[in-house]
Amino acid sequence: MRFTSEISNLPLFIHLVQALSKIDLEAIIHLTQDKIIFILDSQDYIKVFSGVQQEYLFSEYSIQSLHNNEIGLKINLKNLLCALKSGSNIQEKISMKLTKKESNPFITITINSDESKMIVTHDVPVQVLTPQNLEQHPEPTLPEPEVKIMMPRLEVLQKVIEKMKNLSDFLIIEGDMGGNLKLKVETDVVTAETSFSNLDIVHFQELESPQANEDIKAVSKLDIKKFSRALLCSIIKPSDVACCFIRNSIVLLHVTLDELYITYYIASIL
Amino acid sequence: MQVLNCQLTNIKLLINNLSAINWTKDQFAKCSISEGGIMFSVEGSSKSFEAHAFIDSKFFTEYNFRGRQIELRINLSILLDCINIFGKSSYGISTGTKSEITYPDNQGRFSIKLEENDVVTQCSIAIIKIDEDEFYSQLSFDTSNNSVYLAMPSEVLKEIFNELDWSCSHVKITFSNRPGFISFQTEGTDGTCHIRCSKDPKIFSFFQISQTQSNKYLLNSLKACAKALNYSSKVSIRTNENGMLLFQHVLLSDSRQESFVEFLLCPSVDEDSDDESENNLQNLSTNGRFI
Repeated sequence: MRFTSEISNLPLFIHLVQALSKIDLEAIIHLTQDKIIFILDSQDYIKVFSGVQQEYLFSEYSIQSLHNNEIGLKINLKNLLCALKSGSNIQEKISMKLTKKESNPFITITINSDESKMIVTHDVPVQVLTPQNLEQHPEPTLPEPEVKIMMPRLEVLQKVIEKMKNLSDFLIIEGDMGGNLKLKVETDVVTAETSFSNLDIVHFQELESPQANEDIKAVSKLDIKKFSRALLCSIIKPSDVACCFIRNSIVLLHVTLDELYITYYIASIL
Repeated sequence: MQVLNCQLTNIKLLINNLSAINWTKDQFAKCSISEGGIMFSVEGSSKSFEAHAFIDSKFFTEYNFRGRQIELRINLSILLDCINIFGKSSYGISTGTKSEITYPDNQGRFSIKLEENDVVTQCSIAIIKIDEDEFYSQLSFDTSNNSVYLAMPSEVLKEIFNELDWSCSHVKITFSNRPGFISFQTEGTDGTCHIRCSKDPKIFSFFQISQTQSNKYLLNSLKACAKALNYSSKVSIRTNENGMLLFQHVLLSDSRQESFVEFLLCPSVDEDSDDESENNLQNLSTNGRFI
């Protein structure tokens, strides 16, 4: 089992790990020949799957294993972040390798600075997963969403949700195929509802008539703190965030930036 | 039934005035609606101090209210979260936040509608109606008869407050015409702290002390007043012969409109001293106390 690489886009890598660490510190990294996939599967009500083509983050990438040249690792994102961040001021070579020291596996981040003639090495402990372990965390396959709309600017959403968090623990989110999105909190003492309109809708079936239809609506009740943490993906400066409502039981946020995606699966509270 | 319906384009004025009188979570305020404007009043937990913020009807682009004054109790912290819902605008091309306040709405609640850049937020807050004789301002201050009247920029008072030892329970504030004119004294387990201010006319735009005043006040009450300094540009301090302290803050908005926030504090009765005769002596020398 071998994995060696050289990181070319460190800032994006750091921002990605930062966004994911807001959801959970325990993550699975699934390395394949073409992609690096992050799986956050240990929290209630929220699961995250994030993937990126390796060329997008690495300038050199080599992987070898007996299982289809794929490797699965369990890692603590806080440790990984700490290691990556120490390289953020240095413009030199940063490599990421799978190593074994005293029969323990590590992801070793080595930062070589030619200027200051300094080499910094971080050994981040990992747990190697078997293919059977990995199979226990598949990306969910879900029915087609009833409503799929593009989110408004994340900064605005974040500000509104920040204040709504003070008013209630639950968020009611409603979207329709007319391009309208509503965020609502409701308690005995206060009701606050923010409405966004003229949002883009996504058609997944070209056969259907491509006219906006306000009557196709979906609504879900979510844990507001989890939703608020998902919005912290704004740190990667995504190009698009799509919000999908599935059977009024799951809200999916699909965040994309070129070849990188983060998908948040947020379960409704009934 | 009288109905209030008003519109405000300068929501920041409302936010600043209310934030200046909000110092804890879950704070309730009395809201008095009249033809002249809306007055928000908050009572301190010790009942020895009060804060008032008055939003004059002239600050609203439209203010419709006729008839007798209505009074209600509202959760000030929730109100602030609602009017602050769009946060500070980060991108400068914002069209500004338009707001519309209605009371009562069709559910009898206090309703606020905010609009910024085509995003609309509608909030509705439950209130408690107050009968005429239930809540009345217990503290009154006659501003025509002051022992002390000073006015200074808020930064100056803020600097003084920053130096105080907030771990103590009380602060002794003395105003006199002798050098060391204004002094703040605290005494605590960490030590004593004594701040003295001179009569510098460059700092004080107004300085008048007709009677020496030396009184102790609860530092917790002063803390609330200190917070308001973050929103005000100028502040005036007045005391009356009973040692009641009145802070009047001038809040300046972007459109150069001045609004006012007031804090009234009662002096504390000295309970520490066991020696009764000493207590009596103190009472005699400081012109009596407001009980």
